[in-house]
Amino acid sequence: MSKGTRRFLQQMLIYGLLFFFLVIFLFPIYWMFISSFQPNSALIKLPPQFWPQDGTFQNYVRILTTPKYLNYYKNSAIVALSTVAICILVSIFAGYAFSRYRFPGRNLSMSAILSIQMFPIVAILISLFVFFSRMKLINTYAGLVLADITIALPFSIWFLKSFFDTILRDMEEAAYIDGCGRMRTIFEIVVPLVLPGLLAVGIYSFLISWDDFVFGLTLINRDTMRTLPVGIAMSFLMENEYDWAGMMTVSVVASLPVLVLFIFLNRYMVAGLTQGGVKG
Amino acid sequence: MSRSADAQGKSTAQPFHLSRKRQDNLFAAMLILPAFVILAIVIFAPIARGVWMSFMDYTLATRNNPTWNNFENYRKLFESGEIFVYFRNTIVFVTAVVGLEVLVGMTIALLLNTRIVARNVFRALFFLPWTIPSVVVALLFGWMLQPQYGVLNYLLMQIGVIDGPLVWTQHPRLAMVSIVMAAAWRLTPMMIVMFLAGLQSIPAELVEAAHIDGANDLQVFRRIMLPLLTPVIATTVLISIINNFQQFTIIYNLTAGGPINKSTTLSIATYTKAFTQFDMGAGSAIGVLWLVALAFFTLFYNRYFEQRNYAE
Repeated sequence: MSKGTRRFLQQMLIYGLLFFFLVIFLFPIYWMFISSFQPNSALIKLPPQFWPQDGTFQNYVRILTTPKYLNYYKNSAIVALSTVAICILVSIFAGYAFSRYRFPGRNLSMSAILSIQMFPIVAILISLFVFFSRMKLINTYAGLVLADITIALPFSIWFLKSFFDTILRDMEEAAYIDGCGRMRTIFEIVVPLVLPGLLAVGIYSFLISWDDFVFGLTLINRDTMRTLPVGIAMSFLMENEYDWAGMMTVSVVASLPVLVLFIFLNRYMVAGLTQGGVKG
Repeated sequence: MSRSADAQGKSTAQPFHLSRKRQDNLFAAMLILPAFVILAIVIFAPIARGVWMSFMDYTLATRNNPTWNNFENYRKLFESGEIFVYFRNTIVFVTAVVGLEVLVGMTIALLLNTRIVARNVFRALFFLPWTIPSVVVALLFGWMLQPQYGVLNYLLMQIGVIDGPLVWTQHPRLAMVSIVMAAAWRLTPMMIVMFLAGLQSIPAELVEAAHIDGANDLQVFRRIMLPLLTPVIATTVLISIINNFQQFTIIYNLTAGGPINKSTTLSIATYTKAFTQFDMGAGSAIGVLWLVALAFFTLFYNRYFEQRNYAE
């Protein structure tokens, strides 16, 4: 066998294996989409159609005109965007402090914050619930935002700190000599230099919040305040158990923000991950 | 006020020497305060309270007047053997998921690391499952594993692997398989991305030199790539273990821990004990035991890998 032939066969094998794995990984997503374009009557027919014969938008019309789901969507959006905003702000402060200042307890607090990363939230869910009850944070956006931020904070602070570390202090020194206050220095001089980092933190905290189920399940029990993940789980695992078409349609709709983010910003998502410790 | 400063921002004007440093520390403390307040409210306070609650009889009956009951909650967990079931299920789940992730992830990463066209397109496509919300993953797999109408049973019957439809999510053995499949599907992309990044950071010259010296691909992988990748693998595996230990959403919405505790991991157990069976004391106790186990695990894991580093 000539070297050229061997090389060619090797390449074929590699592409073959890659496509094999790709099919396994993408098939569920494909299935989700085509199930959403078929009515339930088609979905319960065997054999299942691998390409919808009577593709229809009726599921989408149905789901998107049901106030309940739109409300869940709205709640999730509010919580997620608030989480992003506050998380970015808090981690700018903390990341900057850890990067620029050597204060007593610095290393200890850095370790403490990072160790939260490994923390099993479910273990303290019970006491969190009791605690939040006493503080009247149950069934509020604020309670949920607080909880979501906590999960996103360790990585965000650590990530922004590393970013700040790469920026030379010359500009800040110059600003200080020119009489610029500390806060102003941070926001007008340093922050513009770390915008990619802020974007990564924003995406990361959005993903954490959008994906959250446990906190939404525990801290919210009024249906009008429910977030999307909990809302659709309750709806399609209880009353609408057999509405698979609707279930898949809602699934697509729920995945859309993240898919869209991914299409446009996947470089940042991947960059964030490869930087180190991340909560998946 | 004279504004002269040296490179560290320390005032070189004598009268202000102390106050500048103190100002710095105060400012730093202020900056960190918001983060710490949030963490204190959501993590530190509940930990303390959780430990305290684990020693109380705090059920639906006693909710207005919980009483101290020493180690009673713990005793019951050990006596009934429940806690061992939960730990065992969790360990089985985590091992299976992480094992699959590493094997499949490394394989795909190695494939992507070769001379192929449009690597970034492939990588982006492989990354897609990670972007799907966990709830959706659970519902989606629930639909694909549906006994009568699900596509998996159909395909398996067509190929001839099984004779009749399997009830995946409520089967004593297959329930665990179901949740492992779903979790591994969603999380392997992260492994692929991490391993690929690690592989691409290995200098090509090293691999070439080895080939020139006569090593075949397998030897190159074992003797050169693996040792260089060990830090990446170790870190990624640790993160994955910790994440999967806490997995709740996929399990809760796919099998709900069933049937009869067969797929109940620590996270499901903690939740259902407290919120379905209304035994908050016992639930907190499970949580405390979990935390203790995690602390030991992390300690030994780090120590093991530190020693290995020194040995090299």
